[in-house]
Amino acid sequence: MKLGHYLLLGLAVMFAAILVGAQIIYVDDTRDYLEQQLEAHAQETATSLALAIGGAGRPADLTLAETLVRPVFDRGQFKRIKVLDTSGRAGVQMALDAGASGAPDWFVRLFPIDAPGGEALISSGWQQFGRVTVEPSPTLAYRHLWQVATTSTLWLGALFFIALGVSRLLLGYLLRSLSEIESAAGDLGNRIFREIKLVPRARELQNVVSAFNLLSGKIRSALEFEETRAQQLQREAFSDGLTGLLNRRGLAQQVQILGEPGSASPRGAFALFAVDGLASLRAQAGFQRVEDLLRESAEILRDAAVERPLRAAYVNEGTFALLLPGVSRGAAENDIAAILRRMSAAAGRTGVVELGIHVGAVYFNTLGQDLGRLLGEADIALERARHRGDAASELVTANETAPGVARGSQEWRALIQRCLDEDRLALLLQRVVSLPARTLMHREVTVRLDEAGGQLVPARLFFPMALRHHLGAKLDAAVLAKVFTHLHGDTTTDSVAVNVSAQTLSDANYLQQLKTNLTNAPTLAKRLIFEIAEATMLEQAAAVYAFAQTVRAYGCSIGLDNFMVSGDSLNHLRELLPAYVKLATSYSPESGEQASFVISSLGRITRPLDVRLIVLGIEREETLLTLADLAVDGAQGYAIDRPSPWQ
Amino acid sequence: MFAGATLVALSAFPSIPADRFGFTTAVTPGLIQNLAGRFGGEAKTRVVNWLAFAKNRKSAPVAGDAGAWPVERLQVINSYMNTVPWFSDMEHWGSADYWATPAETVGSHGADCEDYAIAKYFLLKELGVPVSRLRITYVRATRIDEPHMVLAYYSSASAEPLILDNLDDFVRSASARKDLTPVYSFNDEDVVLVRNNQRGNVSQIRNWHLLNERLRAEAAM
Repeated sequence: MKLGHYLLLGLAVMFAAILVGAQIIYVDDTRDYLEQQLEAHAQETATSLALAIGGAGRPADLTLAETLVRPVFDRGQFKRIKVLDTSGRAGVQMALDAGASGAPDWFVRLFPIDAPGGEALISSGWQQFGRVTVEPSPTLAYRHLWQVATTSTLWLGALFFIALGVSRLLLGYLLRSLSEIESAAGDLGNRIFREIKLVPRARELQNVVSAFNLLSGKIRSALEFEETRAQQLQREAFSDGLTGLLNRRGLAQQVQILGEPGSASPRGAFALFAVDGLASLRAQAGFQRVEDLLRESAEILRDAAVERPLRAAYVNEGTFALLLPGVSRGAAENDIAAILRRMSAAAGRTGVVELGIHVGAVYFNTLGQDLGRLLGEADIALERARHRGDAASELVTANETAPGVARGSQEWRALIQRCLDEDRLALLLQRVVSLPARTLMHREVTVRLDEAGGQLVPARLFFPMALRHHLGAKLDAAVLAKVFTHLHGDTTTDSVAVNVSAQTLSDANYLQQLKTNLTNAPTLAKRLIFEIAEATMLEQAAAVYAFAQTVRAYGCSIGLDNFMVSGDSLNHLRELLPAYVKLATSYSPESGEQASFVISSLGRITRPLDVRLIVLGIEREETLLTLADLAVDGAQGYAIDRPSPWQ
Repeated sequence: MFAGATLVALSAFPSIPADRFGFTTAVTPGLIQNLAGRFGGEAKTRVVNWLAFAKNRKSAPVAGDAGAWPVERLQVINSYMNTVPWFSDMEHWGSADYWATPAETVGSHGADCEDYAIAKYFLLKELGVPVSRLRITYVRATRIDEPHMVLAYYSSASAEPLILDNLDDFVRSASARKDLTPVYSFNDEDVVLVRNNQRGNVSQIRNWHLLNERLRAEAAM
């Protein structure tokens, strides 16, 4: 029960006690007053009857006495009138039948009206003749008392409810801040650090609220600070300090994103702009001049990016890379030529003759996700351009027979469909361990196609194709069905993480089927973790939140995979509050010191939010030792466990 | 009702019960002190004499049948009380109509008609006369042509009463007192209506009510 209800109940009991008490006192006083009135009236009547009988001159005449008493008695206000002689014998006696009292019996018992009668001596001169006794009838008094009691009870009852209503409003107003504090405290427990906007009137509550706001504000600002820092580090990790363009890592990531199957711009051009002869420039004009030229060149590329959705990077000493997705070959040639002209002009302004700009470019119909391949082909073209001389450019068409895209798109579709139909999916498990204790956190489920001939095709190869052909939801459903079957028979595997694709999230049929499965197997649900890629999170935030809410209701957990590719995902961390985040492989500490900065910075955000931070792609045992210092909660990689078939 | 119960509980504190108020045995040292303070040192002597008189009468054997008192015994009481000199209330108490308590009457050594009647009433009551035989009676005294008050003694309910009067040292029967016309009479039984041991309506005769208040106060001294 809420505090407000207790207080209201207390007030109601108190009010009721006061009102009942007041009512009893009031009715009792009225009763006393009525008794006095009855008694006085009886006494008056007795006195006047005695005077009348005594004054008539024949006090012993009973007929006379009865004649005098009868009209008084017949008024009906008296229960009994007696005329007694000096020895106490009744000469005249008139009594009224005990009729209805005019009030309920319990009321009569509770408030008995017991008016004493009146008595008067009958005398004539010095002689005493007897007495007149008059007993009042309480019927009318009861009727009056009952009416007074019911009317005042009605009034007091109305008053009671009005008072209660007013108290309720008042309490609600006073305790509004308390319920606000309560809900904020509840949010705190759920790792949501928010501010209480309401200023309570009660001083104690004011202090509580300000202390609460101070505390949650501090946590919030600390988290915001860390977020900003992590975003900064993330940017730095993907950008070049000198030119402000992407670095090689950033470019690789962009290629990966753009090259994903199903994206809008699979064709385009990739060009390398080499500023040759920088050593001469440094020798003649100094280091500063070299940097100025590079910055100017970067500026030219940035200008070009205003018109076209291109990506520019500084990949090597004096070498810029330019990715032009979604352009025709002719447009690419024009763009490259324009940039080359401007960069050559900039180089010419230095007055150093040894400086020369060369461009090697490759045009591709399918981008793919392999930056190395693009760089390799563009490099060959660059070498050819260098051979051709100053300010030369060379555009070649990419060799499209790279591995992974060897199969035709329709071929992939047929293969995936066949494997789904024939249930030829193989599930593998890979352990994820906590650090530094290395206890099992969960196992991640990966899926492979069991191609004819016993060859297993890894998800990395076929999954993009499945997505392109909109088989993602179907594939997820098939995998999940197998996971449920496995979990039923496997009580040793504690909890497993299953990947959920973007297509699944927007598939109503799949979601309905999932709900049915979870309802049927409530104990298994608690062992399930759904892993969602950060890219999916950014694209379909609303769908992800809805999905998380749905599955959490069954006891499932949510994890974020491939995290920190974009700094924007940090904004979602505090709202989604996943069980863990798996850092993108580009942050493997094996890839350099920059990654370590990002990891430790991210750890300062995830720790207070109670989100586990897991690093992927750990291939060397010694890396595990350094990870513990970086506030990493878990690790996954070949150094720990290789994916093995789920038996 | 509740308030009344509380008052009863408080006033029950003095050890003298209400049915002995006005008796010589209810005279406390505090009251004697009080009377001496108000009326001088002689008041004490007079009160002590009064107490001794009552005590002697009590030890005297009750003569006659059914507890009826012979006129001689009443005569002694009447004569003793009539030794207190008469003063009007205005002269004596500075008030038009003041009903003094027996102790005040004796102590102040001054009384008017109702004070004699009251003092005799309480003395007879103390000496064992049932209240039903005594009636303090408003009369019209034709001889002095004034409203007057006497104590009537009825040997039985239907008997002719004997009159104890400060105007007449002799106790005579009512028929021998042609100079008195009875108007209204009362006693404790009339004005104190007892119901469930609670005092009823005594306010009908206001002066009697005030007198009882004073008796109560004296008993608590």
